[in-house]
Amino acid sequence: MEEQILKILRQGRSIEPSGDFKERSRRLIFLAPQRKPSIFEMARASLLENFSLSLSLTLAAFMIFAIIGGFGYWNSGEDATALNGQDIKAEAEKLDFQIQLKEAQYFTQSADEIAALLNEIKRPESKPSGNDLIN
Amino acid sequence: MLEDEDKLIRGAKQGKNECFDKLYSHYLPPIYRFIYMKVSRREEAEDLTHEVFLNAWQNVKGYKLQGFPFSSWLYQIARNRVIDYYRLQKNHVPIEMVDADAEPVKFQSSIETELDLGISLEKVRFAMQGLSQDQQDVLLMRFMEDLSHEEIALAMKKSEGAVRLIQHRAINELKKLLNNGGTNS
Repeated sequence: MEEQILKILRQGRSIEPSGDFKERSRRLIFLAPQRKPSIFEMARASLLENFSLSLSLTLAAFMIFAIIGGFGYWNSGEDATALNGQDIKAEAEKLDFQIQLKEAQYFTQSADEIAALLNEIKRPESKPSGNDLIN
Repeated sequence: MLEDEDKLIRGAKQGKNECFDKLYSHYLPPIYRFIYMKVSRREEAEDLTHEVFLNAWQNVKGYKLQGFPFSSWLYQIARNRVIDYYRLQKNHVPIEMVDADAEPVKFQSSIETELDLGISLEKVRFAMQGLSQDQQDVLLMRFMEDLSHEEIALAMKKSEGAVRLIQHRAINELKKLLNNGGTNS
């Protein structure tokens, strides 16, 4: 049955408009002026036409920046020795400790020297020999 | 697709009557047939067909040449015009109730004598009124006008897969309708 239906539909091609209608319609059509698309219609068509291109370009630019930025970070080498969080923490703690030690030594030494100088100043009979203190 | 169709379209966009006239002469019969099979009355079919080509002539300056057949655009206009027609009509008239004074379509071949099952084009057309608009359109464009699935997809703004599915369902539904005498009972 399906083939019969399709055959009938194909034979519908024999339907034709009348010659009178064809001529009448043609005359009327060409009497009508053509419409120029409005600025809005042209802008919308252009936007729709270029939307995919713009989106593609934007995504491509984004990818390029992401890749360049990623390579720049990778090649900087600043954190090459301490990417591990634990290593970073150990280095930081070590640094602080060393700084504190050095500061403590400085202050201790300074305090001893100042104390010695004050003692010398207290004893009137002895003149401080600046050479002893300076070195 | 018409030979040198792009050249004719460019000429029509520039306002050259002779270019659009060639497009008109080539596509008038299929568009007329398409509309006639959907509205079932010659006068309405002529009016609507005229409006389709008038619309096309007036708006061809805004038409974008993208490598698609010009017919796809014409079928889009025709489909929309028929939908508007039905909206205004609200109720379509079954073919049996067509005014007796209305001029019947004269077929060039005697279809009824060629068929074993006695199914006529009139019966098929009546039964098709029970299909959805999309189903009717796909059957007419595919089997009456021999458009490819791609061309139909462009005209209907659907995917090719969707068109194939609609076609499959339309044929099955049409068989049921013809077996039930053209009704959905």
